[in-house]
Amino acid sequence: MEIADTYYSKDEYVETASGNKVSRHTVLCGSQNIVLNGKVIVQSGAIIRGDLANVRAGRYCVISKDSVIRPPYKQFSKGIAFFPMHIGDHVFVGEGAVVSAASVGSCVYIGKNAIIGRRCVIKDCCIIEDGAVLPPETTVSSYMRYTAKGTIEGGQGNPYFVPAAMQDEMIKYTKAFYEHFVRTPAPAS
Amino acid sequence: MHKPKLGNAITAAAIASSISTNNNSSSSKSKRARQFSKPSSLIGGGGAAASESLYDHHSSLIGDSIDLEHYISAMEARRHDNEPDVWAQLQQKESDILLAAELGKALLEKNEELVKQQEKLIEDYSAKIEKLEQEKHMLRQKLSIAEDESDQRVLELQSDLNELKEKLQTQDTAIRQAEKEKTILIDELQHQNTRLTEQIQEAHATELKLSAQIQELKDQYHYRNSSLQDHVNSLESIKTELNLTTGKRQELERRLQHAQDEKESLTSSLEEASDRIHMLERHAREQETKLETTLQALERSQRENNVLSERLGADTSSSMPGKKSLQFEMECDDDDGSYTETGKPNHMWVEARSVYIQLKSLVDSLKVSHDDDSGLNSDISLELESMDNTISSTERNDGGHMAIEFRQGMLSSMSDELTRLLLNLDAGNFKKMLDQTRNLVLEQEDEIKRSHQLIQQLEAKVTVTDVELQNVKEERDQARGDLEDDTNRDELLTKAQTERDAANGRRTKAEVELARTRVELMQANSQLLESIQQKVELSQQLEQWQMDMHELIDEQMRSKLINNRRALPTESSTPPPSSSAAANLAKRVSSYKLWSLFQR
Repeated sequence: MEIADTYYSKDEYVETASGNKVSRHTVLCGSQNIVLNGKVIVQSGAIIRGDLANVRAGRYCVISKDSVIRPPYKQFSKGIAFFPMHIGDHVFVGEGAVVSAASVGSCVYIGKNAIIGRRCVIKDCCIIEDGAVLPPETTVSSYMRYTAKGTIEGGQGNPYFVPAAMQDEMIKYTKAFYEHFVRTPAPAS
Repeated sequence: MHKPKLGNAITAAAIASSISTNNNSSSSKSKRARQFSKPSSLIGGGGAAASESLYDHHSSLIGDSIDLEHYISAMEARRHDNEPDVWAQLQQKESDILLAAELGKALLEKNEELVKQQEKLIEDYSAKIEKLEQEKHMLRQKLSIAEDESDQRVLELQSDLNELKEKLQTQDTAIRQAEKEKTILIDELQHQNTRLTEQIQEAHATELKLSAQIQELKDQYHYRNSSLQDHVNSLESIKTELNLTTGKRQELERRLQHAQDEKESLTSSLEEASDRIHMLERHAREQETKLETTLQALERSQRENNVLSERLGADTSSSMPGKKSLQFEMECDDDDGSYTETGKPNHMWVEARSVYIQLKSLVDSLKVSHDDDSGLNSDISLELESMDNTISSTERNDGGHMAIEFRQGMLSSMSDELTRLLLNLDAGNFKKMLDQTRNLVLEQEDEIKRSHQLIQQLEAKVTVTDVELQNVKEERDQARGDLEDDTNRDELLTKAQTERDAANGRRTKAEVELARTRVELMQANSQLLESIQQKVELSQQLEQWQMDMHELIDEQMRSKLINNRRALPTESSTPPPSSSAAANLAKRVSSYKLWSLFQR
């Protein structure tokens, strides 16, 4: 199924040399600590808290509208410390999701309004369903699906909750999304 | 008298009663019995006078009875009087017995006589009865016969009744049919009556109309007869009018010819304009095909670019030791001049310099000559090639132009100056030419419309004058005819009627023709309007295509420059935006040249 073109206005988005398309309506705190490896789309309303700690995103990531990327913190006896956040390649973060994971692997699909608790570890090729709430410090292994009910499905005995071709699918999807995320054409005079 | 003994009295009474019972033929006998019984009852008392009074006028019996009663009474008296004489009593009793026997015999004889009488009576009565029965039988026979006859009569009468009833019914049905036919006939006759009355009314009405027409014709005839002199005068006036109208007609014909000539010239100009339109359409189609080819090339190059960039990105991501932050990237994009960071001349700087030199030359040429009609394809292609070859020729030109200093901002300023000049000159010129052509076209269209209107007016006037002429001629002929012919009023009447009819027919035909010409005129007008509208639409489309072409060329140049930029090693020292500005400039120049081509 072919993804339809998503149009953005030229004034709203900034396209960098490395192909990152960042909306002007995003809140990028501490952009010196934010590293986007290339061809990353950050849609309007997104918040990336680079002021707290380093945020590194891989290639072909899609950070949808009104999502929050916030580095995780750990409380110590002497205070709180924020840890760097690593997001792998071909990651799709849905609208309104709040990601406070310590690391997100590659080819991960995070659904709408999902809440990833602090210091969670999400391995490669996972699916976090829409509206799922991950408690802090959970680990979602590869090819697992975290449901909205709060259960992790997959693994031994049930290998089919996440499709086996998840990696290829996510690569295709994110690439297609990026390619179809085009500027609105100038109106014909 | 002596009272008889009870026993003797009783036996005498018994004998009397038996006699009475034997002789029951008459009531008198019964009476007698009663009479005898009465005396028996009167035994206790003695009433001989009473018993004697009760005797009938029956001769023998009565006498015997009287005797008997006398005897009985005497007996009774004796009994009461003399009892001791037994011999006397015995004698008396013997005498009594003898009397009694005699009495008995007499009674028996009477009885026999009575019996005989009875038998006779019986015989008589039986004969009477037989007669009566015969008569009865006879009467019964007669009765039966009479009954039969009566039955027969009844049957006949009933049959007659039935026949009569049937006849009655048939007659009733016949009467009803006759009545129905009558009503039908009556209805038909009524209808006929109504129809006839209507016909009569219509005939009456037609008669009235005809009489009115006759009156009118008579009036006309009188009028015609009376107005001969008026005709003569009118003839003369008509002649003068004729002359005037012929003069007017000639003038109008001359005007018509003028208008037709103008119309022909305008149509020729229209054809020329349509030819030009066709030419422009062909140009537009050629441009479209070129557009399509360029688009296809663009797509191919984009795909290749994507592939190459991916490879590049993969390579750089693996090889790059330090990643750029987002802030850095954003700042890099916003920055225009970072020339001061590096003093070494590199490829981009050289290219920018060459562009600047070209721009300077262009500006000088523009300043010198305002009439920059470089609308020839060859010029555009040469310049385009020159733009394309900037990258390759930068190295060659380096030696010649090293003397020119290249500072930051000079390119942009030169481009601005160029654009300003171009806008002032070419755009103005092109606009003027556009406006001039548009005005010309509009004026031509207005002239065409005016001429059409003039033609219509003149044609209408010509037709009107023709009709007037004809009418005048006819009146003149009529007047001449009237003058010559004084006799035969009836013929005149008929002539007038025929002429009137002919005139009416001609008038109707003329009206029909008028309507047809009007319709044709309307159609011609509508066709003209349509052609004008098409022309306007075509011109609008042309302008749109031109604008599209501009944009496409802009994008093409930009993409080419981006490709060229990417092909070179990426360093942040040189001002890439300057080259993009130069590219924009070059695009604008080429586009303006193309624009001038279209304007031709």
